[in-house]
Amino acid sequence: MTAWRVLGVATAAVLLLTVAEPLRALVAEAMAADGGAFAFLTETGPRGPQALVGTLVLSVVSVLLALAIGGGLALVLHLADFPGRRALEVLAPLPIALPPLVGSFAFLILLEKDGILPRAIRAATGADVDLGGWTGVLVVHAFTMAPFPYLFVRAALGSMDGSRVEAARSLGSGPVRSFVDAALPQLGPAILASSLLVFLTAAGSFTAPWYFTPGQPVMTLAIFRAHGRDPGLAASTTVVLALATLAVLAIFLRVQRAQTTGASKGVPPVPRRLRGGARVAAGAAAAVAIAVLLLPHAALVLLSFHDPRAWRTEILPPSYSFAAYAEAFGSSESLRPVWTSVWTSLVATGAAVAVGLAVAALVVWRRVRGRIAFAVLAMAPFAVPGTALAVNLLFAFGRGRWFLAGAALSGTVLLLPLAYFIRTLPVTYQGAAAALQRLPGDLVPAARSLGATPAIAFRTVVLPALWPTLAAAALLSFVTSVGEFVASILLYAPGGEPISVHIDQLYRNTNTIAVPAAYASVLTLVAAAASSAVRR
Amino acid sequence: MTGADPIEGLRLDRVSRRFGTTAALRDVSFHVPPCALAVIVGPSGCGKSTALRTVAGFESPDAGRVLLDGLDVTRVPPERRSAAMVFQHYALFPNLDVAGNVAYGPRVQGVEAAPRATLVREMLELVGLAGLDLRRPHELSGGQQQRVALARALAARPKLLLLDEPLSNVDPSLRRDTRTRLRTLHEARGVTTLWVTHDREEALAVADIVIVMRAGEVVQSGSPREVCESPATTFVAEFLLDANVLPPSAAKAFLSLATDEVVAARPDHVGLERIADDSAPLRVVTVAYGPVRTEVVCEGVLAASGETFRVRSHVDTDALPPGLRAGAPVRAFVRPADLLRFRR
Repeated sequence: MTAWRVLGVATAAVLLLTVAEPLRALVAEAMAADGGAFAFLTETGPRGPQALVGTLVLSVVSVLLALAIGGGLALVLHLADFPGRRALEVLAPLPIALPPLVGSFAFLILLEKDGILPRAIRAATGADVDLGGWTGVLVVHAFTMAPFPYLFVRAALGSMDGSRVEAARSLGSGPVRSFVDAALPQLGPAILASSLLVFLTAAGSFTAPWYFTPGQPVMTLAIFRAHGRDPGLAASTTVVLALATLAVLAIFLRVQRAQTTGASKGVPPVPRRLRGGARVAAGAAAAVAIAVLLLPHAALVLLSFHDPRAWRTEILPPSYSFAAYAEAFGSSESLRPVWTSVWTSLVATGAAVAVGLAVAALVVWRRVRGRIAFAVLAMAPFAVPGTALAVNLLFAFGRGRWFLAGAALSGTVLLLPLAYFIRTLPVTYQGAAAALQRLPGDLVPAARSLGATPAIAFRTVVLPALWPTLAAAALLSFVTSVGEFVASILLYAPGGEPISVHIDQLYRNTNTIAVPAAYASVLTLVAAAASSAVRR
Repeated sequence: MTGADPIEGLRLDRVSRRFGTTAALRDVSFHVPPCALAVIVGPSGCGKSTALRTVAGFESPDAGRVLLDGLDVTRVPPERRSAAMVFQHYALFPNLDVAGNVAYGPRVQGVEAAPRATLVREMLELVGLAGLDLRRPHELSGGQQQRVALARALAARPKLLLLDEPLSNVDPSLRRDTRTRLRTLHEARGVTTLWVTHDREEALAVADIVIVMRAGEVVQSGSPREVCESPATTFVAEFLLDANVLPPSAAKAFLSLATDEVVAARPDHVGLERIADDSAPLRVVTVAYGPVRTEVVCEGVLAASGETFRVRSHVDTDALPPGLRAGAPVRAFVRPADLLRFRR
C-alpha cells in the first residue's frame, strides 16, 4: 500500500465516521420515530410546521436586511470618498469576529426591556419601547450577517471591469444608468453567494432566538426543545431543517450556474470625492454608522466594569470596578470553563487542520478517484446548522456503538472537540485547498528534479508555501471553537461546560451581567486579535 | 537503473506518449552526446515540452526508452535521474532565500553543510549573483531569478541539465546577452544539456545539435549548419529558415524558374527589381524598414489556379531599389545555387 493510499483510506474513514455516520444515524432515528421521518410536520404549535415557516421568513428577512446594509455600505464606500470612510472600511467587517453568543448577549444588554437603549429612549421621550422579540433577533442578524454581503460586494467591486462602465458612458449613458447597466450585473455572483451565506447562517441561528424569542416558532429552538423529551421528533425536525437548507442551497447553485459575468480586464473606478453639503451629510452618517458598529462592543466592555449594586434606574451604570474580572479569572474554579474551551478547541483545531489538509491534498493535489465525495463530505458540515449537528452527534455517539467498542460518548467531554472539529473542518479544508490551488505547479517537479523524494518535496516546499494559509485557517478554527455555543449547549458534560455555556448559565442562573460581560469581553478581544492576525 | 547501453549521453529510443486521443510524441528518437548542448525546436503543440518532461521523468512514455549514460531510466522517478531542470517560470521556492534555493539540491542529496556552502558560493559567482545570497526570490528581477534557477540546477551536479524555454521570460533586450551567457556557462561546466524553445534564432545560436519537431515527431536533427544547409522537408525550411516555399507552377510564374520540384528560397536570397510593366506577376504588399535589411512582401495570383502566393524578400536597406512601395509591380529572382529543392 502506498503512502497516498494509506492517507486516502485513513481520511475516508475519519470523514465517514465523523460526518457521514452522524447523518446516517440521524435519518435512521427519524425513520424510527412515531409518524416517520416527517413526524415534525404533524406537530402543532411552535414545535410544528409553524417553526419551519418562522425560520424561512426570518432567514429571508435577514438576507434582505443584510444585503441592504452590507451591500449598500460596500457600494457607498466604493463610490464616494468622505470623512470617516477609512475608519468605516476597517470597522465594517468587525462583527464577523463576534462569537454568536457574545453578539446576542451584547445586544440583549442593549435592547432588552430594561436595557441601555430603552432606558435612554425612556429618559429622552418618556415612552416605554420594546426592542426585544423579533426586532432583537433581526437586529442581531443584520448586525452580525451584514459583513458577508459587505465583504463579497466589496471584493467584486474591487475586481470589477471599470472599462465596461466607461464603455456605457461613451455610448451615451449617464453615471447612474451606466452603473446600473454595466456595473451591477458584475456584482450578481457576489450578491448571490453572500445571500446564500446569510440564509444558511440565519436558518441555523440559535442564540439570537434563544435570547430574544424563546417561545417563538423557530426550527433550531424546536430541535432544542424536542431533543431531551422526544428524540424521534428532534431527529425528524432536524431532517426537515437540513432538507430545507439543502433545497435552498440547490436553488442558489442553479441560479448561480445560470449567471454569466464574462471575463475581461479593466480598471475598477476610483471613489469620487464628495463636496459641500453631501460631504458633511456623508461624514455625519459615517460617524453614526461607526458608533453603531462599536456599540455592542462598547456596551460589553462598559458593563463588565460596572458595579451592579449601584446601578438602578440610570441609563449607564454610575460606578465601576475590576470586581467582575477578579471573579471571572481570579480562581482556578472560575477559570475551569476557560481551560475547557481552550483545550477542546486546540484538539479540534489540530484535527481539523490535519484532516482538512489531507482532504485538500487528495482532492486538489493528487486528484484521487472519488475526490468529489471527499470534498462534499469535508464541506457538508457547512450546510448543517449547529443545533442539527449536535443532535446528529448525540444520535451517532450518544449510545454504545461497535466502533467505540460499545462505549458511549454522551456525558463525556469528548463530544465538544468532536463537534468543534466537524464545524470547522470546512474552514480548514477550504483554506488548504485554496492554498494548494495557488501553489505554482512547477515547485514540486523542481524539487524532485533536484533530487527530493515526494515526501521531502512536500515537507520542504509545499508545507512552507501553505503555512500562512494553514495558520490563518487554524486561527479561525480555534476562535470559532472557543466561542461556539449552539452545539455546545446540547453536548457539554455536567461540570465540563465551555466558556460560552458558562456565560449563558451565569446570566440565566444569577441574573448578573458584569461577570458574563467580563468573560465575553475577553472572548471578543481574543477573537478580534485573531481576526486581525488572519487578515494580515 | 537497469539495462546498460553502450551509447553515453542522452538517448531517446522510439518514445511515444498519448494524451487521450492526441499523440503528443510519436516514435521520438534522438541522441545527445556527452557534454553537448541540444535544442529541441518547433511550433507550439509539437511535443517538445512533453519530450523534455519525459526525459525529466515527469511523464511516463507509453512506449520506448529513455537512456542516460547508457542506463535505461524510463521507469526511474525524477529524483533519481540526476536530470536537473530549469523551468520556464523558474519555480524558485518562495520560502527560501537565494542561497537556500541554490543549496536545495545538495541538501536533499545529503551534502554536508561546509562543502554545501562552498558549492553555493561557487555557483552564485558562476552566474554573477555573488552577494545576493539572502535575497528572497520576489526581491529579484526576472533575469536574476533565471540565473538563480540555473545556479540551483547546476548545484545539484546533474548528469543532464534540462532547460524549458529558459529565455521566454527574460526581457527581450537582455535575451541575446543571456543566451550568450548560458552558452558560455555550458562550455565552462560541460554538462550535457537539453534545451527547449520555439525560437529558431535562439535554437540556431546556441545549439550543438538542433532537433526539429512537428506534430509529435522529430522531423530532422543535426548541427545547425547541417539543418540549415540541407533541410529535410519544406516544413524545416519554412520554420527554421523562414524560406519561401513554392510549387513548380508558382516558381515558374514568380521566379521564372523551369523546374518540376518544390523549391524553397531564403528571403535574403530573393532579389527584387522594380519594373514598369503593370502586367508583372508580383506586386509589393508591404515594405517593413530595417536599418540593415528591409523586408518586402510581394503577392501574386497564379493565373491557372487562381491561388495567391506571397514571396518575402530581405533586401539590403542600402541597396533598396527606388520606388519600392505598396502596389508597385516587381520581378523577383533567385540564384539557382541558392535554391533548396524538394521532391513533390
